Amino acid sequence: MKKGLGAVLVLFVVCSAIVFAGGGSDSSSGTLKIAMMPKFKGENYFDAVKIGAQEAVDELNKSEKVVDFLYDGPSQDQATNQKQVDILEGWIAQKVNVILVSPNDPTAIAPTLKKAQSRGIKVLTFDADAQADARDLFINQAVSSGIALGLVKSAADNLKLKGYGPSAPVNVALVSSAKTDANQQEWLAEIKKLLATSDYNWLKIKNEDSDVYYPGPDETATQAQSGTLIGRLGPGADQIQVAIGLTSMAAPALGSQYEAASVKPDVTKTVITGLATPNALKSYIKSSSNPLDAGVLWSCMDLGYLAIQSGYQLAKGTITGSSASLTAGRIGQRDISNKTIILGPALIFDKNNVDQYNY
Amino acid sequence: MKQKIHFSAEAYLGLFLLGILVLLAIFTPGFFATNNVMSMLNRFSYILIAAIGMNLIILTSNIDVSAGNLISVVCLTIAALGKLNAGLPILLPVAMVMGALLSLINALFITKFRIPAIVATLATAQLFSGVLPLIVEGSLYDLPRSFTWLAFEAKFLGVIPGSVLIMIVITIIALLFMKYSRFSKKIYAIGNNAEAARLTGINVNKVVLVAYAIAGALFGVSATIIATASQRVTTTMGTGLEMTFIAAVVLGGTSVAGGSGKVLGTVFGAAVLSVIAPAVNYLGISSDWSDAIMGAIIIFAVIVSALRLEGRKQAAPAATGGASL
Repeated sequence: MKKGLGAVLVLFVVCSAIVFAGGGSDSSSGTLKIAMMPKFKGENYFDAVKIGAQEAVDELNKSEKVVDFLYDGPSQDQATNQKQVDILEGWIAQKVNVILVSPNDPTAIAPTLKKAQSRGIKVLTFDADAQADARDLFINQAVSSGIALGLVKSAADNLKLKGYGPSAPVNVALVSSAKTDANQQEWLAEIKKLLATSDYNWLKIKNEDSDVYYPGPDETATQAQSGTLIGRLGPGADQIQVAIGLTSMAAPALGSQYEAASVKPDVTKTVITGLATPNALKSYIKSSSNPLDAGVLWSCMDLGYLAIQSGYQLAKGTITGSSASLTAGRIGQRDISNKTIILGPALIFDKNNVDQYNY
Repeated sequence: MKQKIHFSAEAYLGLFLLGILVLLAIFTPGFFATNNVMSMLNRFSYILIAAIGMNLIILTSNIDVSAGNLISVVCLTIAALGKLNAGLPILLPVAMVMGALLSLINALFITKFRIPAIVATLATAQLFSGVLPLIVEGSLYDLPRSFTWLAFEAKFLGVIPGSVLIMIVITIIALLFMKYSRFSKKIYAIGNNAEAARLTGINVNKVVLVAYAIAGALFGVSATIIATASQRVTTTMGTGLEMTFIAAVVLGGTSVAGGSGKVLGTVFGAAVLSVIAPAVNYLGISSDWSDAIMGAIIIFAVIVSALRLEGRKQAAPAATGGASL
């Protein structure tokens, strides 16, 4: 027992020596340590953000190495605040200069972020925000109303091509995540606002109980419920004409369940669209026999690029939280207001441009 | 009185299912459209195939709560093969062998180390789900067309999904196997009284090992159907499904104490569970209700089965097994 304890102590001393040695050598070289954390790793979306971030890092390091880039996060099935905090604590101990994080829980993560700030670390959020007083800047991909508009516009444009419009109204069904998911609920609320306007009031959610699906974050349940919805697609007044996927899981699930359907609902009378990465929808968009013709997202790579640029400039003092704007490399100038930088409007992609995006 | 007892649990459940279907035919016009029927049959197929395996395990008076996570592991494994353009002729056998091997781990803990099945499989459930994130970061995506062939293209007579054919074949084999094979007699004997079975010369450990291996292979088949439904496979494909399988078995009249229960009951049980969620949706009710309704049906079934057991005990105090064969 005593021996074991001794061994552990020795191990501990050795480990901490290594950590300190590592920290020491880095701070002397004068490079900035920028650490980025997604909500979870290993999904097209955050993988694309990482590619954009890496691109920005490579640009900054072109002539001499000025940035050390760290990237880590929880795995998808362990996407909890606690896992994020564990990694953050490690980064704070390592004395990184900038932390970029997409929090799973905006309030629970705040104490840890404040602790990082108190040690002189610049803290930025991207993709999802934290409590406003716990970060220096928020890189917002698009505002909720913009995302809702992208989805509704994409649906409406395709529906018009198939002969629908103010004189031929349609029934809408949506596949969301869980009722507790703040992002999806907010987008749904914005979508409902749009459907109440004269531009889009020919799109109707007839029965919110049965026409908004909440399969939760589970892939198999999402597939099953999307399958049920595909069975209800059709031109009839008691059927659904347009299905919208509100998550990056639901939109491709609708596409694949249409492919799997035994009798495919009339492709010239139905429309599927949703929020997902271009790669996840590419094969359905390109297939003329699948009514999923367009998808909606922001440029994930630009989001990663902008996040790194903002973090770097904030740490260098080129900008502060109260600056009016920043110039971010190839993306150009973006306004800063209320400590928030907005990337831009949502991106609608279809068969003409889907190949331009590799994420 | 005698006739009433003779009316089996399977018959009650079959009638109940028929009742639901008739009501749905009357009240929800679109419900029996080909598409919805086939989509329900597809879900039915992966629930039933795994539930037949679970039934086998429960009959030996054991249980497996790791089945869902086991399926996740198998799904990811075959997805990795799918990335290399492997088709169903490779995916399905690999899934079955892998499922059988993983399930044997459970069986070894139970037979060699005498760990209660619920504890052993709870531990392996954690193990399976814990191993996944070490291998894959969340999900494998952009899987090729060859991977989704079973779901997208394999349609018998142009309409019936391939998964349904697989289910029919497996169900027929299971019905015959459980009725006529000597092995199934041993399973029922062990479930009724393992000690008595041992004394009659049955190698109890071996039978339990084989039962878990067969069940594991069936979980592998279900995993194949689940994984190939889309171009993305996540680390959580099977999460929670074990409860659906156990529910189908229990609803089908199999005693959780083991030793009594038929495959036909499991078929009806799985069918009821596959119909409820779409039915609730077609009736225009919030999906929040479907879990509650399923729970209520299961509790009702368990109470009925307990009352029947009580009645049987009073009628014949020495009823150990024989009747259930």
